[in-house]
Amino acid sequence: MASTSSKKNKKSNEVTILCLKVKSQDGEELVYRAKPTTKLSKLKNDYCNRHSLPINSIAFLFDGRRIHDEDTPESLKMEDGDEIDAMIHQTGG
Amino acid sequence: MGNFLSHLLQRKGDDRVNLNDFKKSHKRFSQEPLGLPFLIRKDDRGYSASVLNRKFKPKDDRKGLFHSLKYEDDEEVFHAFYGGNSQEILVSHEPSNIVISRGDLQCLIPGAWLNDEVINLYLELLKERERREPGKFLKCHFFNTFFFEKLANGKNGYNFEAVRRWTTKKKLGYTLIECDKVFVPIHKKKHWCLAVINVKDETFQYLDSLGGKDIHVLEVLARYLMEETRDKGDTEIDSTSWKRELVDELPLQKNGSDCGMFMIKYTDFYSRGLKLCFSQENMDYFRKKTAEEILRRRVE
Repeated sequence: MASTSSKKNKKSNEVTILCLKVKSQDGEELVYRAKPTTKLSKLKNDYCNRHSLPINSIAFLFDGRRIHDEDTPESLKMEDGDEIDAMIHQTGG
Repeated sequence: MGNFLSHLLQRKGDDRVNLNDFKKSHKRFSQEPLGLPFLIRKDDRGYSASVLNRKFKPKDDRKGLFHSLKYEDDEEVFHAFYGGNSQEILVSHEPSNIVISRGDLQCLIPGAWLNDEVINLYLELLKERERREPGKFLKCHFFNTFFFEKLANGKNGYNFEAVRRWTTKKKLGYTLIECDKVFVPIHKKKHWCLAVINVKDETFQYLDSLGGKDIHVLEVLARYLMEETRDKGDTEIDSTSWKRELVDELPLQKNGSDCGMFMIKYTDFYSRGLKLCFSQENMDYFRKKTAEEILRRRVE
């Protein structure tokens, strides 16, 4: 797994690499390159580390649906360029 | 407490008044320490729901809305709240991938603020309830707490594209316009409110348990509905002519902690096609009941 644009994994192997955007609530995007079989929890861990957030303070959503830690781009039928929403958990009284 | 007892004795002749006073004093008594309602739960359990709720004059279809928890269920909820470390996972709901830890569930202890995990799972369970018994409930769609955040709280104040793919017919099995009601939780920094797209009555409604009014939310939803129907190939709706209703005759919260509970109960009652026949007094019961329903992963 690589992140932002720093690493280039573009070996012309058969393995497809997907670009996935993780979008925060204020619209900031972070682009990850991931194999179809990469667990999306890896992206979430990295995202939280970069933003110094506790892992359970964020929900990752794909088209409005919660992403499970075991989910992969393949299991969710994600395509190149798809977006993941990183949402901060809310409480209210 | 002495005053309270003498007060009770004076009114010995009328059980119902006694009971209400007793309940009220419980409430006052239990405001501060979070766990206290459970320390007095044995007394609480002794009274039947029909007596407690006599003043609501429930019709037949409202029976069961205020039923006391069974002894075992009450014990189970108590254990779920206090029986171990807060990281422990108590509920995994596979269809929605929502996981509830003890720490999450503890937001249902009286006095605590509701978190989005519990609200979102409850809304999922309301949808499952409707699918189970379609004849008994209105056809509804329940957006999660993140929907309005994505739609309206981005940089430009409105972003249809951010939620366009949330409601494909393939995903839902229906389009929004086929529903009677569409529920949209609204999160206002530290406060939960509710917006409803009442498709059947062509009305946008806004409900705030603190009595707040925000017409802007309804305008955003009106714009969304037009764009959504156009995008999904339905007959395009001209929502400019739909009514906007800032609901003001509704049960209100009388503390600084129950807005989330009010919000999900507005949703529950509206999805049954009922009026909002509850009040602040029911909230501690609703909290316990909701915790039980979350643990069962089933709302009746």
